Amino acid sequence: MENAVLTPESGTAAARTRKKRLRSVQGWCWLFIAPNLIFYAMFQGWPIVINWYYALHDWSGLSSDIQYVGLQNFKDIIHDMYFWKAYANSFKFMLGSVPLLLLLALFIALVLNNPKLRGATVYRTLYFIPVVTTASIVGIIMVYIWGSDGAVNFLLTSAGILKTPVNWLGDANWAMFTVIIIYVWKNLGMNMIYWLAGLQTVPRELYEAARVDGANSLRTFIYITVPQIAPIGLVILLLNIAGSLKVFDLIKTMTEGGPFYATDVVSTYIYRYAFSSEMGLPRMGYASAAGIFFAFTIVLIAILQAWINGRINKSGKGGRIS
Amino acid sequence: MKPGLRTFTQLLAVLSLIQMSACSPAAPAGSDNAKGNTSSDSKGADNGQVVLQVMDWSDSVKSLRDEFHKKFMEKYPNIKIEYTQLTVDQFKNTVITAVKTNDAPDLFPVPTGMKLSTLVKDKWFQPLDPYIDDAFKNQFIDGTFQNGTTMVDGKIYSIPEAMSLPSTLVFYNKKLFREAGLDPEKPPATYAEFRDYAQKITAAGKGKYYGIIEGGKQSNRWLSTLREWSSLGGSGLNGNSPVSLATKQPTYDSQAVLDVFGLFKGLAKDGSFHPKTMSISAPEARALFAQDQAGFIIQGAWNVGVWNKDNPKLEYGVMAPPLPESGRKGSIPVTSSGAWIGLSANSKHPKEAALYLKEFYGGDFFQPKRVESGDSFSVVKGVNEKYAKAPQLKAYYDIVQNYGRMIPDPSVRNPDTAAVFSEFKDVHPDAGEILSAVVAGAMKDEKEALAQYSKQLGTAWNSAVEAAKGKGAKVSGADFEFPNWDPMKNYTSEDYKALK
Repeated sequence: MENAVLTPESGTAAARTRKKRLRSVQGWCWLFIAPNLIFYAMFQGWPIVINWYYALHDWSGLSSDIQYVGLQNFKDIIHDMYFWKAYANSFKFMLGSVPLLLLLALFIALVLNNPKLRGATVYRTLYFIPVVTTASIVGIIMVYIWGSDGAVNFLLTSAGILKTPVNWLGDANWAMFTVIIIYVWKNLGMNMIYWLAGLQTVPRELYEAARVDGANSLRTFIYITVPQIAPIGLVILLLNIAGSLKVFDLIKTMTEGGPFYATDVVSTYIYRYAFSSEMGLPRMGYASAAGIFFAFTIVLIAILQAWINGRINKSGKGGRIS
Repeated sequence: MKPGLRTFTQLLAVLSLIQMSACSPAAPAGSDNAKGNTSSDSKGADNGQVVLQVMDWSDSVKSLRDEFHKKFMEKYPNIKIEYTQLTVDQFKNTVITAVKTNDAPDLFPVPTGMKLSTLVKDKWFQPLDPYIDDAFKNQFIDGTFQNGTTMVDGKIYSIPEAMSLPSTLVFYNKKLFREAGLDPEKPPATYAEFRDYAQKITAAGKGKYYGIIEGGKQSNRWLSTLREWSSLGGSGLNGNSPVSLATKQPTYDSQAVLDVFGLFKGLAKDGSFHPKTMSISAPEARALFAQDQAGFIIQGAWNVGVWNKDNPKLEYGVMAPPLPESGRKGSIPVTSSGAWIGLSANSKHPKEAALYLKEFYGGDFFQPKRVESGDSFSVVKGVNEKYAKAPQLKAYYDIVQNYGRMIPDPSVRNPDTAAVFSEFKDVHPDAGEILSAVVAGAMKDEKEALAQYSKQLGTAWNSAVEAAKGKGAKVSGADFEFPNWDPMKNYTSEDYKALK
């Protein structure tokens, strides 16, 4: 927005036309944003608002019987041991998958960023293909690949690493590990692209200067690359944390939160209470409350990240992160 | 811009970035479910053609059903049938959203775990009475239409799919018996023998086949097995309510229950379970059993039809569930056939739907073929006697007559009890989930878990009864207690009368 300059001609026709043009430009801006805003309001905004309403009620989601219960749903959630188990599993999943994703993707991006590498585009495409696959289909196929008579066990037993096949997704000790590995594989490509974008903002002169000064690759990486990509690294970290906390389709199709809640995360917990039941009816209100509870956690993490990001920006770019 | 405003807009930008970068929407809208029903909102109105939408999960008779539809459409060229078959979970999610958007199929069954009277109250179904005549009603066996099961307030809303039989008898593979040196005509009778047989078969298999396979992913299968097998030991557990008929409490940690757990724990420890068990569903287990990959499978009568059609070379027999060492103290719970298909309240073609039902039940194709294929027993009079040929199905039926007894149904005694079920909040993990955890090795001490489950179940059930009372239903805990119940006798209409 340009600063309005106070001139003797403010009240004249020239100033009025300027204002009119400005308003017309703003009008077009609103027009172009409008579709996005409308869809956002309908498909993200409204569900968020109505979620608050449902969370305060006892409602099955099916029958017309809806009753106001205030904060009772939240109290029930706090007392449910299995909600906290799912909560802990969500964070376990996040702590297992995010470092792997960040570091592996950075490594691959560094290799692909080298201008001397031939066929870099081919490799980039290959790494990116898992990202564009549908998570639920991937999940279903992985059940067969990682099953007790699947390809993974075949490879490991033929290579002599395993004596008897392990049911990776059906064994309570290995299920979380397996799910993390598959999630990392699926999202590696996306992170690689983010890192590549970050690496390409590093000015070439810095590298040339370092080479002239006689720095080897490791020192170049630590003292030049890392500080330069740190800000974008933080953004990637935030995106990965939020994404891994919201994982749903992969876990639902591979293990449904099993075996016996070993891979149950908050999203599968919510789905279970919202849509399934054995003898009673589902509990949409309770599930909505669980959703809000978890959303608070994610928002808190986001605020923390934004604050850290702000602090780093204030201390100036290129300096060491204190 | 002022610094505070800048941080605020940065924060806003960051938050919206999370929102927009999400690959999957935050609200699990069930959009991954195969919505078999495609674009049809125009329920067919061009040139007198009527489109009838039917949806269910009866996978065991799919090919017969498709043939039935073909014959039906040849007989009535102005009616086009759009049949969608989903899995039982998919169906529940899909039909719920379909009803809420007024896009429900014309004919669809009551989803599992839901009570007909609750759905009638919520205007899911309309009565069939205006469209069916006495001739139609009289072709069904006695007890098909009862207030509380298929009727609500004296009106018929639903018809059962087939005669309800318990679903946890044991099928065994005769070929694998022989290879393990066991006599295929002498299946095991006790828990110890069962465990021993399974172990011998696993040893003989050397990794090619195992003693027992199950659809471990489906916790409802574990739960049914637990209830029905422990009932033989006297637990009084059944699927009609959480309350045990024996103890009048939700007792899920009785000796009979613990004995079943002991057996399955032993089977798991012996390595007799097929390694795929925990990651497959029941239909997959059924297919693997048919490929000679396991000696035993605990399943229902509908498997007979599937195997006789798809795996004619499979040599299998059916046996009663094994008994605990302490002997038989009860019976397998047998319930009256429950509500299945109903007519949508918003259906625009009730007459055509009734025609469908007339051909489905009264026609000369579907019911006879279904019984002949060995899938199930019909609720239509005279069909079973004439067409039940498959020896395994007959054997299944005979075993049920021998070991099963009809149990009381609280909804027949007092239809208002449905209100308790709509207030009831399931307790998780339930006994079926605990059993699957024990088999998967994820839980070592089930006694504690079961005791806690029984306690939580009691609290949840009492709250449900109180809540139902609070909303005006005329119920009490006593409606679920049947003092004149004898575990070794059928519970008949005389017994219901004697209660009053």
